[in-house]
Amino acid sequence: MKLVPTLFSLLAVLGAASAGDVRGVDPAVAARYVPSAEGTFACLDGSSVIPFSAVNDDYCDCADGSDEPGTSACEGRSAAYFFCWNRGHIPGKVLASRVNDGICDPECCDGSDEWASGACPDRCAEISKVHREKVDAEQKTRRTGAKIRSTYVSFAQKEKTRLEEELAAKRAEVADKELEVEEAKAALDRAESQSRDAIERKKQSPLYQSVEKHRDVVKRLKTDVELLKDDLKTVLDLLEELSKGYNPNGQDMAVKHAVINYKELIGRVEVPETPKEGVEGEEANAEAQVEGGEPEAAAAKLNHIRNPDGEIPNWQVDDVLRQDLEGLLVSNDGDDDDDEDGLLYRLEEYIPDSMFEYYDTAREAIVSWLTDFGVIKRKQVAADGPHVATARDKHRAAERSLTDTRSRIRDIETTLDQISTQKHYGPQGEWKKLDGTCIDTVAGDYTYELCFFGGARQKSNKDSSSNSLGSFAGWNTEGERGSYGYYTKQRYRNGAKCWNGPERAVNVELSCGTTNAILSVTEPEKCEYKFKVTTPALCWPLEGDKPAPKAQAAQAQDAVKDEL
Amino acid sequence: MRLLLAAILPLLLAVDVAAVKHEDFKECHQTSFCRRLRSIAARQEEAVANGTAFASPYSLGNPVATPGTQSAASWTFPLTSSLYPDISFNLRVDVLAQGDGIVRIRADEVDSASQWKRYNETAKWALVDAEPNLARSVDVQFAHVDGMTAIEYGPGPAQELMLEIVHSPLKITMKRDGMDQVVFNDRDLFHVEHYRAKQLDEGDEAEAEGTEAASSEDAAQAVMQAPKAEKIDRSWFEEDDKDAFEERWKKWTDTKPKGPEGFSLDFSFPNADHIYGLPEHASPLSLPSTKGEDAYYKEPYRLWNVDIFEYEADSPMALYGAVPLVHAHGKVNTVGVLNLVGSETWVDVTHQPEGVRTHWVSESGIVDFLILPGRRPVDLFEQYASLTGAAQMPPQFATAYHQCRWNYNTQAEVIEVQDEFDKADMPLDVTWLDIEYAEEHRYFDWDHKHFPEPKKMLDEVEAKGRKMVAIVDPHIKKTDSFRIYTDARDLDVLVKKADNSDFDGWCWTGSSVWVDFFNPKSWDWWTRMFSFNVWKESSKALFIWNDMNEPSVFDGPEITMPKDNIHDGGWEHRDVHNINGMMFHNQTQHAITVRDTPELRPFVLSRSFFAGSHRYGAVWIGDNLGTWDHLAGETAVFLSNSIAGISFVGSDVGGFFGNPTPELLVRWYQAGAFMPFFRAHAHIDTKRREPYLFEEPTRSYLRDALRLRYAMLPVWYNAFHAAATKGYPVIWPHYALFPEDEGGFAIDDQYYIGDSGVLFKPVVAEGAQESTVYLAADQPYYDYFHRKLYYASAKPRNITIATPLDQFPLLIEGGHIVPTRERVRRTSSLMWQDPFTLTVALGKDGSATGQLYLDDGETLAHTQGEFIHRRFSYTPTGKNGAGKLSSAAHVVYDGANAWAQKIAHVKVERIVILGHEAAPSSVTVAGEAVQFEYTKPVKGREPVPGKVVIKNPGIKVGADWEVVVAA
Repeated sequence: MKLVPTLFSLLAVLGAASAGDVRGVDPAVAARYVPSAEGTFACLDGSSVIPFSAVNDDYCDCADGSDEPGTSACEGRSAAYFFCWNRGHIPGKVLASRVNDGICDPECCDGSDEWASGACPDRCAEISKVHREKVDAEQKTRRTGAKIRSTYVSFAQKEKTRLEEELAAKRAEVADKELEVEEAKAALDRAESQSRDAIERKKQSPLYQSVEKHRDVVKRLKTDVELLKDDLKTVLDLLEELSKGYNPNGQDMAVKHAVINYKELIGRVEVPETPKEGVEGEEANAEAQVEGGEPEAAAAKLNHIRNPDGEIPNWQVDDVLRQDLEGLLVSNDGDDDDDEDGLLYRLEEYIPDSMFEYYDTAREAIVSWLTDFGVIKRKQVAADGPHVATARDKHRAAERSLTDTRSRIRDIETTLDQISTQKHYGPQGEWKKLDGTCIDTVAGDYTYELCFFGGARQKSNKDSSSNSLGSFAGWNTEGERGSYGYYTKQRYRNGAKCWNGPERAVNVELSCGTTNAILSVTEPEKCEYKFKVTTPALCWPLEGDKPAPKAQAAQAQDAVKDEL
Repeated sequence: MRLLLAAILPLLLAVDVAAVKHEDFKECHQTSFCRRLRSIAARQEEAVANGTAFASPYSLGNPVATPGTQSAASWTFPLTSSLYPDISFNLRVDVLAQGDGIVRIRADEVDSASQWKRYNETAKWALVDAEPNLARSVDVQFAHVDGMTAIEYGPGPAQELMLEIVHSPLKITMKRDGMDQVVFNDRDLFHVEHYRAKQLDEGDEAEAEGTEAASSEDAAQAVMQAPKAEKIDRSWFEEDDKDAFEERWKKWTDTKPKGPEGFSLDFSFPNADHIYGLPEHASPLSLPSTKGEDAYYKEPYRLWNVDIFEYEADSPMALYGAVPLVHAHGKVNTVGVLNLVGSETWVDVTHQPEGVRTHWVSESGIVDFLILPGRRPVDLFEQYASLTGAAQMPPQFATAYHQCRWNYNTQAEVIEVQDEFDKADMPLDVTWLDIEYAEEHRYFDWDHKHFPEPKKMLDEVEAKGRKMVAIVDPHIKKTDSFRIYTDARDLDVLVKKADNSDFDGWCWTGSSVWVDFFNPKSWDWWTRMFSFNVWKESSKALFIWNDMNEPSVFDGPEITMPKDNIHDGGWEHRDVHNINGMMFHNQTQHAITVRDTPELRPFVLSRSFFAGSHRYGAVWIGDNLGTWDHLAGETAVFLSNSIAGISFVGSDVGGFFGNPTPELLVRWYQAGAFMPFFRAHAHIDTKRREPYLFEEPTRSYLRDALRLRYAMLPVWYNAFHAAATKGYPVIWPHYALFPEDEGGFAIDDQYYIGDSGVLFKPVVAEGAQESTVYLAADQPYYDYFHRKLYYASAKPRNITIATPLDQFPLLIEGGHIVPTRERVRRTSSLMWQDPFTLTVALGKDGSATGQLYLDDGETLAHTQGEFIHRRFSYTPTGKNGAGKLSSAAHVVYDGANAWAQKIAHVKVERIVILGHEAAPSSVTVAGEAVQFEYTKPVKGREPVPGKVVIKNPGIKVGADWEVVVAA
């Protein structure tokens, strides 16, 4: 089946066959298998000329093996293969090593390669029938799939239209919003031009300096603690991963001890089925036992290790760090004029944007605390503080709105680009429909899930555990962008790391089918999965059926480009 | 927290380091008996250094003919030790009828008041016959005078061997032609620890009082039993050992209820320069010293079968198998010692100007050793086979290529792998299934989620002439739903703990038990487990792999069973440990043999082995690393195993652990094509590396290696036949083939296949562009691929061969005729009627010989005379290369046997005569001219041999014929 002779070569061999009838000759080169005037045969590679009687004499004379098309004598040489006519079916060829080996190879359904062993009857009629049925079925699938695919294509078109309209609208909004931002900025600048020097004077006091130093120390301590916590978390996560994903590969005592000590630490020590002297084996069935054990207790213990009692809660430290020293400066001069209280409110002007939200939420609490202690008076709060704050709020809101609009524009542009230009969603955007569609299948103890363009997961059928097998990382790197082959593979990468192994990954092999479905899941290498998946998105229309609307797609692409 | 992290972090880091965990395995000083008995040598050395006296406390009384062995060459001597005058031993000396004069010496305690008995069944398992026939006393000369006994013996009337026994102090010398070959107790280190009650000497008593009541009672008893009158100083010889009755190591306690029962043997080999053997160790073939100034290793060679994780490429540490056999070799003589001991044994080797000295210490058992007289290595092979039997003729497929991986995960994948081999035009005979085929690692039970129709899969594999191997390990999942477990439990054939309850431990299956294959009750049952009626989802295309049979017990001391576990007959595990793996292998092999009628040749691969394991199948050298140093070290391991019978041996091609580079993989396949057992295997964590997965040129190099193995299968089959009939190794180290060539005694990185004259050396260095090969024979050597000629030389010499990645040293020694089959099929069974090529590598006298053994490769019909065995000879008949090549029966056999008839049509398609100096005028067969081509030799610095290639001479490989080459 590897070889479909062209009409030309068929004609050529018909002539040759009547002249020579050399067993096993490929019709494409049959003309060469005619004795020369001198009664010789020239090896196809031109390496030597041998008597024609040496052709098919069951001894290999030519370097390329071309003198023995009908026997196994030249097995292993480049031109040593046997051609089978397979009448009633498609002609095929087999390696010389398969000639007369007693095995009926499907490539030679006529059994002609087993001419000496006689092991194989002509099964071409039967095989041809099966083959035709298969081809018919494939075509039927392809047609049905192509219809479904066309709905995907129209979905993509509609989506494109919708997005283009939205894009135009959003772009129109941008100019207005830019103007709003400008105006708000001007208002804010005016508000801010009021005094901000007063406070600088007070900051020179020794007490203030000392407090600042203290705060600096607290800050550094906090950083240290956080780093330590991170390290601890890393180590505990490592151990947790180890104890869960522990792979009993080999009797590695170091691993076993690590797991055992870890479990003892977090209080997750199982009682083995039978009393044992050693504990090595426990982790081997840890997973099973943990389910029946007390995972919540273990989690609590783990939490305790991570955050031991007696530790100063984070918010307390944060309060100290976030304490508005300048504000306190002001409050110390409680009997000063109202401007000083106003200063407190104006402080937000000096809070960096990234901190603003925190400040915003804490402000009420601080204000109420200060009020309760009589540091400031509630009624003064409304005095003039909001003046700057309001301006700032307005400016901020205007900026946000502009950013949101711009961001949405970028999103739409990207999506439109993916639908058309970059061929991310297929030549006609047909894959857009499947973005976010999830399919799954059960294999062995797991359910495997694939969300197109999202992620792949492996979920246990026994418990609720689940592992990421990776996120969409691209199409077939070997195929040319936009070609059919390009869309027959998807790569999902950077899944959960395997114990002592790589990050999990999936190679999805796609083919045309009437449904989106996972046919099989295999793990050719540890933690590297292969999903075989069918999808109508790959049922490109058959030749002779309605042509793909490529021109239309190309126009759309150009339109987008112009707008950029 | 800090402490915890400090404790855990190093452990985590250790996971990534690919190296053996030394701390998981004991050194001699961590082992009570080894420390105790090895120290005798230290005291002896000290005495010698100080010039003080040190003489064996042991002496013999007058011999009597061993009772019950009338008129046989067997004598028994009373044996006593001056350290313990009240204890009686016997020493028995036998001269065996077989093996050119093998002497067997046994010693055991007699009339002991102890309830204990020393283990005496090692011979039963290791030898074909635990009591081999004795020579007749009339056939040896026995003389006894004044504390001296002399026995002259040996084959034929010459009786060139003599055993000289000095009674006091005990010393036994084996001489050949008056020259000392083996001296037993040369250094007075011989010692047998008699059974004793736990004694507490004065120093310990105070301490003992503080301990529990029971032990002080014991102490009181012991004191009462000890004769008060004598106060013999034993400290010059015997070391006190507080661990003698109980030994702790890490978290394990060995209860040692029998107390000390070890023994120490010392053998010197005054005429030997090299000593080989003691497999299995990842050490050089010629064992380097373990003591003294030139010590290469710090520890003795250890025999204690263990599942060692990521073992070192050069170490005396124990590996998976044990054969307590040495060859002591010198230019004139070679002798062997086989020490029948199944308990833990450590052997020190020292090389001195006075010869090679060895000191063996063992934990338990009787003294039972055999002295194999030699005089050459080839004789030792035959003598050893006369004791332990020869290997079986393996099925043909087992000598071809095996593809394994942990794991082929599904039925579909198995089929896919073999289809990929076919697509890539790479031959393959056997696809293997590691532990994941079995539901919950319950071997026998297919995981139907992934192997829904195993029978269908097996049939599909078999349809192309291929086979499969599935793993069946000895650990049995302890769960009532598993028939193997409940059967074995109900039959009461499980290994017991010291308290006689069933032992359980951890292995792949989780909580597991182990069948005690020393128990004969287990045998028929195990056989039944493999019958097609019981294991319905198997077929005759399915063969078996026995792994983890040291046994490997993940939570046991040194990853094996506690020594105080109990086996059949009440024997402790310590007594039989090293034999354990062989028992399992033996029973599985038997089960596979008898499952079909008529019986078919079995194939069972084992990891653990003992003396005699070669009778049961192949072994591989375990969990190697995919590194250059492992590849480099393995050749010596193969050779070391091979000379001890374990010759159907190979390694995981590519290395079990790790991801070899394409270059390393190519070199490993080239090496693998020349391992007797050729199997690629890989750990579950490794990248896929089936040969069809690679790009060019790697792909072609791998294919070339596979094809070469298949083309040379007849050469391998000949070698396996010699192993099965004569006990010869399949691959021969230099010293064995050229025992007088001192330059080759230490060579262990190249070898010959059987008697074929084919010399191979693997390339084991990264980027190696050339290799040096040592040529020992005074013969021309021909590059196997006809590219080069290396002239004969009376002196052994090193030659340098270019070895780009697609090449490696492969030579034919002149004087040999090599039969090959150059048409490689997808599997070896399909090649049965393909024609042969005979390569005649002319010797310097213009002659050459070779052989060809063929049988059906599958049944046992060859034992009924169904085979052909041809001898090919090329003899010069005149000048200028005139000569004739003839074929005749090599041994007497019925030329009309069924197999001979079946392959009567198989022809010789090509004869290549290498080293032919002038063009023949004609080549004729039965008077008829046949075609030939002649290529002139190239002389000069890079000579190429002259060559005659005879085309289709019209002769059948099984027939008598003559091909006449006229000058």
